[in-house]
Amino acid sequence: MIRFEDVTKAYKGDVVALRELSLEILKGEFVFLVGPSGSGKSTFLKLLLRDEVATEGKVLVAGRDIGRLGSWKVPQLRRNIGCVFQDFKLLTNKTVYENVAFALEVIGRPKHIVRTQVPQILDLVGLTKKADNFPTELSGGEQQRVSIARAFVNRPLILLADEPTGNLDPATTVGIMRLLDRINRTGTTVVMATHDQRIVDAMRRRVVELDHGSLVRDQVRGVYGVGS
Amino acid sequence: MSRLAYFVRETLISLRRNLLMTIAGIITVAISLFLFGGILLVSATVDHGTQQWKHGIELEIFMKVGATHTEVQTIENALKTDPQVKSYKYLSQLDAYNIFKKDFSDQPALVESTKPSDLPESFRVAPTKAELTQPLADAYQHRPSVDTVITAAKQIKSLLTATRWIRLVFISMATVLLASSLFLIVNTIRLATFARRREIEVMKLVGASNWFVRVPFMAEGLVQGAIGAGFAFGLVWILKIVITNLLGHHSQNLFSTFRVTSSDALGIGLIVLVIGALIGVVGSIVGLRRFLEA
Ligand SMILES: Nc1ncnc2c1ncn2[C@@H]1O[C@H](COP(=O)(O)OP(=O)(O)OP(=O)(O)O)[C@@H](O)[C@H]1O
Ligand SMILES: [Mg+2]
Repeated sequence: MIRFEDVTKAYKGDVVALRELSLEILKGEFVFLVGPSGSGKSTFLKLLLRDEVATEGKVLVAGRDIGRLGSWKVPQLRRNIGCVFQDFKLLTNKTVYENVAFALEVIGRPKHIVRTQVPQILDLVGLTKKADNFPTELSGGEQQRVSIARAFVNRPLILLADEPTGNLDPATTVGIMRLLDRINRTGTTVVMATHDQRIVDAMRRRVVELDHGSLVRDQVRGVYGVGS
Repeated sequence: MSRLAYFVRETLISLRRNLLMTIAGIITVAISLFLFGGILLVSATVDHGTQQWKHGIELEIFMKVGATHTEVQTIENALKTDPQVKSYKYLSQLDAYNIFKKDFSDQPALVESTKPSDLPESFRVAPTKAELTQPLADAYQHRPSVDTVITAAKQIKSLLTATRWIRLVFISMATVLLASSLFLIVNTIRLATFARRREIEVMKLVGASNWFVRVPFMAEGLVQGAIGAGFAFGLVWILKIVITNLLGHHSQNLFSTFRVTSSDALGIGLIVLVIGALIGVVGSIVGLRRFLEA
């Protein structure tokens, strides 16, 4: 599903964010991306979204080298990849329902699809009752659920999460992780960058550790730190 | 259909959000295009009145309407052998009718009721020297078969040079104003994209196509350009009416009338609309470029 082949990413000013990284992630896997701040986790996810392009090497998604995708094909790629962020990126002038519906409307999905899909996904994330609330009227955990609903409403093959629980307390975090786990069980590949030792240790999923842009560990049922 | 509704809604929201900038953009487009259209209209008026005074032609000899073939021939022979005549051009009754039809295209009833045979034949004459115009005119005026001789008056000559300069000045002014209206539209679109940067970010994130993101902004630019041009069109039309009224009372000879027709105004109005729409779209494309890259 996802394949990195000797990928190096250098930003302007000689910052090497990823160094000769090779890695394969299979369909339906759940992968934690860990490593100290600045180790290249977000860069890894940005390459997958084609937000950045690899300086060297290839990034393949579903067999396609996405570094060579024409800019008009990038939207198609992104329709197959949902993503959530630490800061949710919700639109404050739209309700929960509208935020989720927006993701379908702007890719031209017909009204009847929107009308059936949005309530379904709100039910999945447990926010049916809050459909008409605005993001500012929600707790952080609820906001992250909305953002997950928006990322998943189009049923993407891959879900990327960049520190989705970074702003949440431990109890809320557990709820979000359960949700991501459920989404993963539907066959969606999930890649999540995180600093949260507890959840990595608790979930016992594949752990990929980066340090200064290099792959230093790839463990099938790993924990956050080797020694811990 | 729902997509169209989406674009309309988004465009209106954005226009309202930047109301002041939008109005400024519309006004500059309107003023610059009015200047531009106005000078084209004045030029058209002058062209109608001076059409026959080009290529060194200084006088036109009109035969009497009933002049016989031999009478016309006699004048032609005289012109041919006249050492003061550099060249001349014969216009038949049909030629006269065609010119008449063009000049009076907005008075179909008049054209309808006029036949080629109602109109005089004529000769357009270029003398060897401009100073010979008056003596030549006097000489031919006295011939019995000649109805009248008209000359390009000095005023017309100077009018021709004057309009050339006025045209230049106005067109440069219009160009400067058009450039500033373009700049204003570019800025309005930049502000609009900035105001909606979060929405654009989300749209790109979930895979909205580039066009889907752009269309509302382009429509916004287009609307500004088109509304401005619409005002300019209206102003050009008013100017046309003013010119017509000013000239209407002292129209001279049938063939030296300064006039401006509805089709002139319409044609110029269309040019103005197209330029306005173009400016709007180009402005928004430039305004969008930086923000929507990648
Ligand atoms: N747009 C950019 N331009 C230049 N340098 C960048 C850019 N984005 C990231 N970097 C640099 O690349 C390196 C990796 O950054 P990245 O954001 O991938 O790290 P990270 O692992 O996500 O860190 P964190 O855990 O703090 O989020 C850092 O040194 C960072 O300063
Ligand atoms: Mg990061």
